[in-house]
Amino acid sequence: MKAEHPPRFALDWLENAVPGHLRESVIGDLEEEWRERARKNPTLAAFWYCRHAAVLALRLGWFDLTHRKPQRDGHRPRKGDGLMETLWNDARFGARMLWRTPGFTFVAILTLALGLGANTAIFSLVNALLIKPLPLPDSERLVSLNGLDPKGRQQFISFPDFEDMQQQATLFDGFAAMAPQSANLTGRAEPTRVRGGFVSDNFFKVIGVDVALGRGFQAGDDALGAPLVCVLQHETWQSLFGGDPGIVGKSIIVNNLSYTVVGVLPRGFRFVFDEVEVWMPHHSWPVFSAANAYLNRANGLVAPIARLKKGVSLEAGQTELTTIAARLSREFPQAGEGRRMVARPLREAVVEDVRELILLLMGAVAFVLLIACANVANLMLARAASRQTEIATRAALGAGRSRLVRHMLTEAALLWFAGGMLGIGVGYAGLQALLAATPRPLPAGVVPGLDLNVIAFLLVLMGGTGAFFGALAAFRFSRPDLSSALKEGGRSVEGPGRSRLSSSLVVAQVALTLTMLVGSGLMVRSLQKLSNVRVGFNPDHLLTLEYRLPANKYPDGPLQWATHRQIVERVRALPGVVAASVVRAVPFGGNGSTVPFEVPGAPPVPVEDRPRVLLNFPDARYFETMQIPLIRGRGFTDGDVPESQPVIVVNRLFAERYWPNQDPIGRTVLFPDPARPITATIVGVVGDVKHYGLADTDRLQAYASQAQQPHIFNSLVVRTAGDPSAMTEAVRKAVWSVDPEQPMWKIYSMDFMVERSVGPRRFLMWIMSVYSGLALLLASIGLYGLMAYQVAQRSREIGVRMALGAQGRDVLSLILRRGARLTLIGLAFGLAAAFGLGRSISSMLYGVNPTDPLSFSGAAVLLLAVALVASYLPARRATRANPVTVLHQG
Amino acid sequence: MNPQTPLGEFEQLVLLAVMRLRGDAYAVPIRQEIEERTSRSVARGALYVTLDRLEEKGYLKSWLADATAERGGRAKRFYEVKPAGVKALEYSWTALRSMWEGLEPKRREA
Repeated sequence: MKAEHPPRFALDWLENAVPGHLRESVIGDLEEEWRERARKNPTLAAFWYCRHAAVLALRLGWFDLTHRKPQRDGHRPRKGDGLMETLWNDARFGARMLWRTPGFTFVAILTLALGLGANTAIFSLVNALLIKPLPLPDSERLVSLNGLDPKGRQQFISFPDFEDMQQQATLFDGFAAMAPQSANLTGRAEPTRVRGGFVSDNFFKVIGVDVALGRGFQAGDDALGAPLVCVLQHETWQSLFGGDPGIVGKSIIVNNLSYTVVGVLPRGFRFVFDEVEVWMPHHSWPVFSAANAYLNRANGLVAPIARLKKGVSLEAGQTELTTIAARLSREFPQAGEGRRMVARPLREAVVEDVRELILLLMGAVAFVLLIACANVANLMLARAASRQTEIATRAALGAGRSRLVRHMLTEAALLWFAGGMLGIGVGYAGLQALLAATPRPLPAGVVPGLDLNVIAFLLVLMGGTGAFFGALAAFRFSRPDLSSALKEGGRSVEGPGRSRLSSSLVVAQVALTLTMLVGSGLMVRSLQKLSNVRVGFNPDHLLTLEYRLPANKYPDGPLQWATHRQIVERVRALPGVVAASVVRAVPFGGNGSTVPFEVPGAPPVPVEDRPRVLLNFPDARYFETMQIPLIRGRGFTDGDVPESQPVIVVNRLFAERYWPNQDPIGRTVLFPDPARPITATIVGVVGDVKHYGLADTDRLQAYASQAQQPHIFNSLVVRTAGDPSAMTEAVRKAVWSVDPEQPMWKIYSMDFMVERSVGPRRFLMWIMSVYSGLALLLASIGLYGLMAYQVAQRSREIGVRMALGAQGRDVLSLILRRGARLTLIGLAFGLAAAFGLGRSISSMLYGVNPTDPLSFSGAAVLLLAVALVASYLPARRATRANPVTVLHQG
Repeated sequence: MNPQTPLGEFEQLVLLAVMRLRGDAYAVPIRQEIEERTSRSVARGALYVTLDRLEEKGYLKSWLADATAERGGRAKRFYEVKPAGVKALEYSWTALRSMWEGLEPKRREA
């Protein structure tokens, strides 16, 4: 079969793009060459033709555009004018029209840029965290597992359960265990704390990452007694080992054990949970083998990561896990009857901490986007309406309707382009600011960048709004009633429809803005309340740090305690140190654990309903160092030693709850730890302390003497005379004077830690304030635009009124009333929406009711005031106009 | 005597090709002529643009011939070098030759 013509559509490109005088010969030449080829192979020839037609169309179209004098605007294109030239002319014409109304152009571009930029920043973050796959191969098949105890509380899965699960499950490609824990890297000039990851030997296979150098873990590497090997993170290899190319095969000392480096991970790889620097086999995790923990089915040790087999749904995987867990729970009821296992997508587990914050942000920003869209729509409508006379004139002179519509759309496109470009800049700056301000580090390996998909999505969304309303206006006004529009002498006539539409857009803006304002009001009030919260100790001039004694170097309690004491005594002896103490978990440090307890004489409760208390282990001087008030009895003394009776100090709440109006001193509390149940006697009562954050509700707290129950992981708190951070070096040296191989970390002042604990709230408050300010700005621009437009429309009527004796005051109140009415309607809707918002951010509020009247009324008054100013400005202009001039013009 | 804008190399090739083709010069054979003689490929778009520019400068004239069937009923645009074009070519040739003077043997050695 022989093709008669080259492909039609490709021919059309040439017809449209090649300038008139060349068109005939160019098309003919290409067809001549095509025929030659089509005789041999029609299909190839068709491709050949399309390719060359496209290249020629672009090349010659561009030539035409740049080398020929464009026509004057407003003319119908001549028969010979190319498509490019028409577009170019339209764009030039549009740009000139926009230039002529700089106010409109500025506002439109600003609105677009702010709306786009604000949203680009947030959506890029949302996209990276919640939508894009994690930076691991086939990451959607990765799940994170954890156990639930019989009461449905999250717990780790014990190692025997983990192994049974691994053997019995059929729908998974593998289960890997991973436990992050800081480790001490020694044998170097300065001991360093590294973030360690203790994993099963299949870990890298399950998550789908291969080493860049050497080998990964092999089967058997995690067996007890196997030679110790480790894999390094690329960045650690670079920074701590200078990128030594011969590192594989060398030994490093971690936690006083010698590990052979077998591999280095690829550059840039970070596991999504913790930024692990040194990967080691599971069995060398100190917790793993301590007291044979890995053999104890009741001892939760692992939160496994598993990979579902291809094509297996999460539900199917979960069903299998449920079956296995039920079987295990029947076989081994003593480890918790009715315990379960749950799987959820790894991403969900990873972004858990930031998810709520991000979604809140997204809500706030979506509001700004809506407001910006409403503004753009209103601007397009107002512009089309105000140009009625011009349009009618052009139509009367013979401009076709399609050309008029095209002109309006071209203008819109130009605005989009300018606003979009500016918006990308704003978005980039916004994203950087957001990242710099995020209160919690983002999950490792998730790096949000300015996302092209996001920008495209937002441009289309906002462009769509503008184009829709622009086209609506264009169609409505491009068929003007010529005679009446021209006869009325340039006074544009406005249909009631357009006014109603614009008014409802303004009402919507006001409503959205009020919601945002209330939200930020609530946040501001919460922070105010939080900053007045008493923490229960004196946080000034406190320096804290954490350290962990290597268990294999300090195997038994007395040696550990002796070391801690030696460390704290050296620190106390430093000049500039007022007091110092060692404690298991310092407030606001994020550490801390609760234990179940029983109070003899209290009504017995089932094992799983036992009350829990936050138990901390300070030394004898802790309450003094922290300045926690002692309410009754005594604190710890140097006489509280392992050999003496175990003693505890409880907080005020504990004493009041169990011994209201009685003396708690001398009472006993039982800690039924299965390994070592302890009955302790209460010797003192101290004040309540905020432990995790300022917003903590009062909780049961108890303190046991560290001398009686030593720990390897401890914190130092140092009360200094001057600036605490200035003491950092001296304190580090004091610790090293006891053990030069002891690393320490998280060296912070208490002020910093308290401030950090309100970080997420403060962050949200700032974002809400910035964005609600933006919303207020956009909404007032919208209202101003509408009022200014309406005043302009009614200038003739106002002129007549004033000529007939109306006072400026009357005119002013006429216009202000109209603005106020729209605002009030918007406020009514906004209040309803704000009630909803208050509920959804209630978890971020503190000490403020979600329906806080002050926040609500404050927001409403502020908005009303801004709205009145926005309508006052155009109203004043109307009253200042000279009626005679207005009537002459009209 | 000097032409106002000296000819570029590609412009010279195009003008020379038009001269060689003597009366059968339209874009398709012009391109073939240059490609065959210089063994380098010539983009169609660049050729059209150059032809147009040379015509604008007054070095070429062109006319549309009658339509032919094997071109889908499209006419050919034929080109002819005008005296000014010949002059410009001669100027370029003289300029080049005088610059080459004394260098030619070396070039052959290399």
